[in-house]
Amino acid sequence: MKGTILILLFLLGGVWVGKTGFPEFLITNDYSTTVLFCLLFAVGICIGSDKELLEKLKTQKPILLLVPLITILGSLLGAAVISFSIPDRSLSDCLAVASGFGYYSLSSILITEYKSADLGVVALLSNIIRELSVLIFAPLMVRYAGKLSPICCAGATSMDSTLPVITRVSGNEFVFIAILHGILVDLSVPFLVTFFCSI
Amino acid sequence: MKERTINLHYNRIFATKYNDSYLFIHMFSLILTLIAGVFLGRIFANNKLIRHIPKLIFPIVLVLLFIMGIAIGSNPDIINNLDTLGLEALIITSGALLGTMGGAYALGKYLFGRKEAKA
Repeated sequence: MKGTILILLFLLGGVWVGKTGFPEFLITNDYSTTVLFCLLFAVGICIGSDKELLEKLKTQKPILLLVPLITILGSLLGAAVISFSIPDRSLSDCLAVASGFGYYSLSSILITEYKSADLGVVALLSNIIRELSVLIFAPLMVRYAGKLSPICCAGATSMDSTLPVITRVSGNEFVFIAILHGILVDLSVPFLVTFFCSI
Repeated sequence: MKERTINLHYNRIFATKYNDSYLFIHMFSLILTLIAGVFLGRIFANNKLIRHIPKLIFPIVLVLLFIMGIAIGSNPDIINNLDTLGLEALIITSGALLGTMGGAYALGKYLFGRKEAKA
């Protein structure tokens, strides 16, 4: 609960700073890449110093490669069904937005380029909501939809920004599948987004 | 005309560095950083300083979200249309998440249910 409040507080604080534009060096430079590298380095150290992890990894099955496939099919199917409740957007619009899988920078840029600017903004917000909902609701996801669900819901972010939350709620033994899942879903984003933009 | 302006806004935070080859190099170096961390963590597993690093992870996630907030807040196209575009984004995302959770539930049931039955 304390974590959730902090997450929302920092996001809204960032929005406020961006809107007022007060400390100018924060607005004109993009530090996200640097921070992302720090995060992955810290996560790596966390994994490396866990001595029982290697034993746990041996119990993983190769069938877990199915997890990225489930993520992609589940997201697209869910978005396709719900697209009928948005009269302004076509089926392919909704599928293009949903195939961002949390990879907000890439998918919103591709959609802005191939479709329209406002759909690009929808994609950006959609991916941010996806990442945020995993950060906030991951414990609930595990309780009601099993230990794989935070990984699948995180989409492409399961290998970076949501990885710490996933390992906390699903267990350290899921770190390997979360990273592999993140990489595979990540790679699918440019292909799926351009495909749905072109139809 | 409208698309031009929004592209410029994206440029400032996101787009400048994103082209095809950059994206792959970016992802590759992220994975390398992670692997480097794993090896360092393994070698220095008993080091006091290293054992404090996991506590830094959540603060780093907060900093990332703060930066993401800046990207939203400094983009007038998002701020001015937040209600309609945000609602659409929320609807599409919840559809995608529900579909994903359904799939994850079924796969988890299949995998771990079977495992328990074996043991």
